Amino acid sequence: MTVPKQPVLILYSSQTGNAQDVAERIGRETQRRHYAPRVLPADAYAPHAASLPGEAVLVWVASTTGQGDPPDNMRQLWRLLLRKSLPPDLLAGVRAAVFGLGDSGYPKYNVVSKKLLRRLEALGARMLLPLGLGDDQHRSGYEAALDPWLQQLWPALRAHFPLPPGATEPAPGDTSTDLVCKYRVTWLQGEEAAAAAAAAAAAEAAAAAAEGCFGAAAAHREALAAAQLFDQVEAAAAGLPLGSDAAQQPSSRAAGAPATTAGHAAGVSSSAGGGYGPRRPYWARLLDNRRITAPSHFQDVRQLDIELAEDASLAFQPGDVLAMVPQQPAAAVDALLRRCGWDPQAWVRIEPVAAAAAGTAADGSSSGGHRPAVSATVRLGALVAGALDINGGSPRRFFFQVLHRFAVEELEVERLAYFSSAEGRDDLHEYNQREGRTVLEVLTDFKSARIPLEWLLQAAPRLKPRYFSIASSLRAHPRCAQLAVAIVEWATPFKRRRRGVCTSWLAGLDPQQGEARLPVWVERGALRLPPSPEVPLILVGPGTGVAPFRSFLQERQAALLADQVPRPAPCTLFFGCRNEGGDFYFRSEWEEMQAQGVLAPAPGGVITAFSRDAPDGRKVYVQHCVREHGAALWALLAAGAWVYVAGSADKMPAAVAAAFEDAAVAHGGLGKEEAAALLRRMELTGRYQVEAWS
Amino acid sequence: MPTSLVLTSAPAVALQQLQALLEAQGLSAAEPVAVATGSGSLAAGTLAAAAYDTIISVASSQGHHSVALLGVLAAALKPGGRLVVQEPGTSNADLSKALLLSGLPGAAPAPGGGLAVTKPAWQTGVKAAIALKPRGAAPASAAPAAAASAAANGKGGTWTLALDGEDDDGELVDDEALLTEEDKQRPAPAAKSDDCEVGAAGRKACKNCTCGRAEGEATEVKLTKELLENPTSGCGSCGLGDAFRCGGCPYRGLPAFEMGKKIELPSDFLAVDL
Repeated sequence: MTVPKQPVLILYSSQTGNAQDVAERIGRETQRRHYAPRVLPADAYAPHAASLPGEAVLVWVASTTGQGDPPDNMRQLWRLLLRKSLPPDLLAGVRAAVFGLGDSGYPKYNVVSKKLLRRLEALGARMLLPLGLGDDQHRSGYEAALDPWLQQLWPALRAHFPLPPGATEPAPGDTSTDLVCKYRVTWLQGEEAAAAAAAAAAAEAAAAAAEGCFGAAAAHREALAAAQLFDQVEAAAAGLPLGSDAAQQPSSRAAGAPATTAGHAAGVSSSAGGGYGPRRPYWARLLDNRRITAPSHFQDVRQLDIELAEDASLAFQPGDVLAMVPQQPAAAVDALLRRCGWDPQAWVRIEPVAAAAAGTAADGSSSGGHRPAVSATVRLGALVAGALDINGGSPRRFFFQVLHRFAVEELEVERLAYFSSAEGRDDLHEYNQREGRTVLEVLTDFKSARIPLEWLLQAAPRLKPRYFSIASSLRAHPRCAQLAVAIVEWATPFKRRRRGVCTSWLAGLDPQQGEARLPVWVERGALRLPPSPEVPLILVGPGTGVAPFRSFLQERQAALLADQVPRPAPCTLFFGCRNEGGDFYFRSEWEEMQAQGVLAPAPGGVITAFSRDAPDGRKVYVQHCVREHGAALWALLAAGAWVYVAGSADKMPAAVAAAFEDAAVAHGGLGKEEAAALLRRMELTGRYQVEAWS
Repeated sequence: MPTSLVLTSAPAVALQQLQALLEAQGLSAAEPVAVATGSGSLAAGTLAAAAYDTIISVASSQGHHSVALLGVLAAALKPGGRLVVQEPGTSNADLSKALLLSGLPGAAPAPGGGLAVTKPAWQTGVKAAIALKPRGAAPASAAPAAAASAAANGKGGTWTLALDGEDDDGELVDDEALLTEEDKQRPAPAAKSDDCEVGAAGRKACKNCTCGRAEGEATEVKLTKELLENPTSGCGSCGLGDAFRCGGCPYRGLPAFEMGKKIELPSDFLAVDL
């Protein structure tokens, strides 16, 4: 008879996967210490938030993004916790611990975890130990703070929850040599394999044809279907209720993770477009893919026209984003399978090593709650292509720890041990994350490592969807979503050329060469038009940041041309790029809108900053233009204009905010603090909206 | 019937004065009018929210209409409602500014005297509709008996879950206010001397190098055509690939190779000037 283990709820709020890593590590280490952990993204827990007061132990790992914002997958639960109506002893039965990941190079250092701790305390939770503050600026990154914090966490927990009878603590220096895999893989042979193959092939062919997928798109579809089945197994292994895709990794924008996006938690609210979502994408026809920067310009920016479903099931609002899952190059997938010595045509069955096997259900219920058996029977080649990011994102330290177990050659074993250690962290960072090393490259560098499939599934990064702001309005272009996509390419510190996984795939799609299909769905964006068209808009969108504003303006344009009442107020657009002759895309469209009165007439209306055009070599950016036009902007603000800022994060949003504050001081007679308070008020009431991605 | 509220900073007001004021603003005393005196001590939450179509507030002293007071009045206004503020001695510019800071832009002189501003007819703020399952449908968790009974004691038990689109931002705690002054601090930037070792920019000596790195760089082995033709390695690890190379390796960025055999540059290697 097994004594039920103490359940521990581990939530993570992760933007780039670091907080998730930390949470998963804490999960492994609590499991070794005979607790029953559940590791989930915060918003996956939001539907069950009522259970929170009943959780005996809560560990929360929360990242702060550069601008001081919480990650997307925390927004809903955080919002619930901020409600004024909650009593101060709501969480009196909860013992909690918070670890924050942040970067002290930014002013709002670790504010998310600090606020979280304060709020949990205000709701009566008792902290097991002080807030842990992981800092990217530290030589060893967040782990410099995490290791000592964990050393304090274990005795703090043990003081309240004694060891089950017969169990022993792991030795202090023990570096988890008894890693347990979440999955069990069965390689189907002979009859079983043939049967699985036949059944699946028929079903797949029919489904693909029904959705218009042929050729490469059919392969893509098969891959995503396999990944979808694996998601269910992953969710079961994590102890999540079935049907929830909370196990899916946090989303990231094409060029990185968004700093502010009102993304919604998987499985909670439905997508903006009815019925389609990450579990069931719509296979959209690519109508057009044309370059909108000058051929001689160094950056390749495309306008993609994507045809949406005939019925209104993929309707979107201006400001919404289109999500899609990229297709990895077949050559890379083949190379990986060859390297691992696997047959792409092999069929495998993946099952979770539950929970159930450990003697207690994953959710800790002592009844040993019986779950229906979950398994995924898939073709190996499809699974790897659809589920694992083998040619893009870098694996994390845990991957190297796992690889260490399976390396044979002495030099490799030694090096992998070093990379897995605290001392080797810097060198690992330089070799791996900083250099953008892919799973395929790591496996190629460590040739002797024979990693089993179940471990690859557990340790390799998952293939994530990418998000693009929709640059058109349905009123101007019905049944269509237009995107402005900058093809991502950069040079690593070691001078190797890297390309973005999604944008390089998109760049190669040519509708003229036969039908190209993209798996897409709509997600709610962060930016929203004001309810009334009478509100004048100030739009600041350098580069591809202008995309959501094009959808805003097209919407206003449609209203104006239809003689709608009340009449839309003229707007002001600040656009920044490098050269007037190189990347001033959509120029003729803005000029037309000025003539129509959608944008204010010259010299206002469309204000441009061409950063590389100044004869004296001075770099002019949108924030300089904002400051220059301070008087006119102040008049607009005083008349109730709403401000929108979109584009690459880094310094731009803060610089623009500072420019607006300066305008308030210079032309509105406000003091510095009053100006800052005004902007803060506007932010809180939705009159100043920012969508920034890194 | 439209409802109006008149406020004065004075402790007492004569009825005739009130009537004159209402007439000047185009309102009739026959309609429901509420009166408040001593408006300076009006605290937040004492007035019913969104209750009045028109609010007229007069004050005799400058600065009486603080941002805080105007915020209280704004909250009491119905969406689309009108606020008239009279504060003789204070310029229209200053008064407009105070109104703007309290969330009411677009103030203009009122015909009956003072400044008038209209509260937007729509609700501001970005909302996400969240539908949550009620308590009963949540998966059972083995909450220790003590915690369960604490929650059931009615203290935490009445946590309503259903959130609809009506949920107002005003019902949320201001999360910025959660931070203490100490929280807002951040550690001083690490001694930059450390950064000579790591970081994307880090490996080159600075212009005024005093630590000796510049001399080291002068003797650093650079990748040359000769090395590509006939690669040699002092340490023996260069050919193993980036994972095994040391910091100054001239071959870094190149794939693994065999000693002595010519290295073919891969297509993604951005050739340094050779």
